[in-house]
Amino acid sequence: MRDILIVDDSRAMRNFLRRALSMTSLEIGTVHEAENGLEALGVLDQHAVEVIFSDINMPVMDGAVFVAELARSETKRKIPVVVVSTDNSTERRNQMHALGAKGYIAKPFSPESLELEVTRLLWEASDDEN
Amino acid sequence: MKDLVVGVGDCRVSKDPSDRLITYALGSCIAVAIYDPVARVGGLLHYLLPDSKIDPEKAAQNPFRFADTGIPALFHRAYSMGADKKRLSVIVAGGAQVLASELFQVGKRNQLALKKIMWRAGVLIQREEVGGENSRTIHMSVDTGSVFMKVAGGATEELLNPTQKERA
Amino acid sequence: MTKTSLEDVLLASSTEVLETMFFADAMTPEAPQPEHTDAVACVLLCTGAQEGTFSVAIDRAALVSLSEAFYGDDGPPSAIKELELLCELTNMLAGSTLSAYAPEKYCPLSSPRLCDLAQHLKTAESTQPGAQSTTIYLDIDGGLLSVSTCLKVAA
Repeated sequence: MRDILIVDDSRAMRNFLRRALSMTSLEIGTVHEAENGLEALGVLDQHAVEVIFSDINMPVMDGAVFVAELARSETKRKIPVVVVSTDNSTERRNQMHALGAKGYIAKPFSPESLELEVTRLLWEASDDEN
Repeated sequence: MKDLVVGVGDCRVSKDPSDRLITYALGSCIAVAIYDPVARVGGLLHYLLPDSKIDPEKAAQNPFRFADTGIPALFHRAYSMGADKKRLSVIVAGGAQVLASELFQVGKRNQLALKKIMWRAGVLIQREEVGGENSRTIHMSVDTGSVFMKVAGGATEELLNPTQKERA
Repeated sequence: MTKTSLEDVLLASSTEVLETMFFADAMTPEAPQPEHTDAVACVLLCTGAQEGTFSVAIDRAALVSLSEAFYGDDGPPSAIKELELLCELTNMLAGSTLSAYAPEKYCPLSSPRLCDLAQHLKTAESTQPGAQSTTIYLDIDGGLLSVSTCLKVAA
């Protein structure tokens, strides 16, 4: 069972992602939620999670700053981050990958495409462990 | 092997390993094939239209004509024969626009109806072969759950050989 | 890019969002000047490579239909959840359109906020020099959806 963190200022989107993730092959444990990057850092100080799904455009602390902050922590930088965003520009994709994001899903997306991304991420993670 | 033919607006579910479920000439219609590899239960639905609200009387007589009544009925039949929702593989084919002049885009509406119903049910589709302009025929072996598709004018292709899904 | 291109991109992006996340069949209305009935609206701003405004108006009955499909729950969503969804819809339509219209550079989006129909109708009326604006209309189950934008390349 994997505990996860969903970071998005839209409750509707957090709801959608939670539901879509429950349909994938990822065995979900506890789902933590945060409305922005700052709140997410606070959640991570209290709870261990195995995967983070993060939006980019959020008030207070956006997804780019959040992922950059994760990279500054020895423990938090190891948690794979999948970006889930309407922003599918080349510049943004490159930026988020350079900051350390392991996956990127552009909205709109189907639950099936989320499953593909999750499966790819898990395969890569198990390859890294081996 | 014996063929169980699924007609237009029809549905068959079987756990007899000698059965092959087959449906022909999917134009704008959609076929939904489901298989539980542990219970070895397979089902095949062939529906014509997305929404039974347009003709509730017809839907009451034959729920398999419509996506919103046919798909739940397919799943419930499979459950009654021992299938488990979490183990089901789902393959979808059809939803073509066979006439360029078609105004109502029935094929696309059938696809959208299916996706909505699957989302509500919390079920992922493993493989979909939909859209385009050509008619399709699909069949499923109840013994293995393998699903094959033939597009008009083309060769037969194996779409999926379902195995038990591994949860990560 | 020409006005037609922005309109084409807005239409294609909107249709894709509606079909992929809301399973909604969206058709161009037959009436040349479609009008909303009991609509709610939402607006956001974009900055970066393209500066401007996106706004969305939707007939309430259509929003109910989209909400039922999006949330996928038994029973209708609450009014609050419907309005939250309108904000997310606006966000998705804007982001998706900008990613297709200006794919190289990113355009940060403000948080969507509800507005009145009059403000939505003003979005595409901008006369700023160098700005392009357009509105598209789509018939979906329950009623009318319109999406307006006014964009100009940042200096």
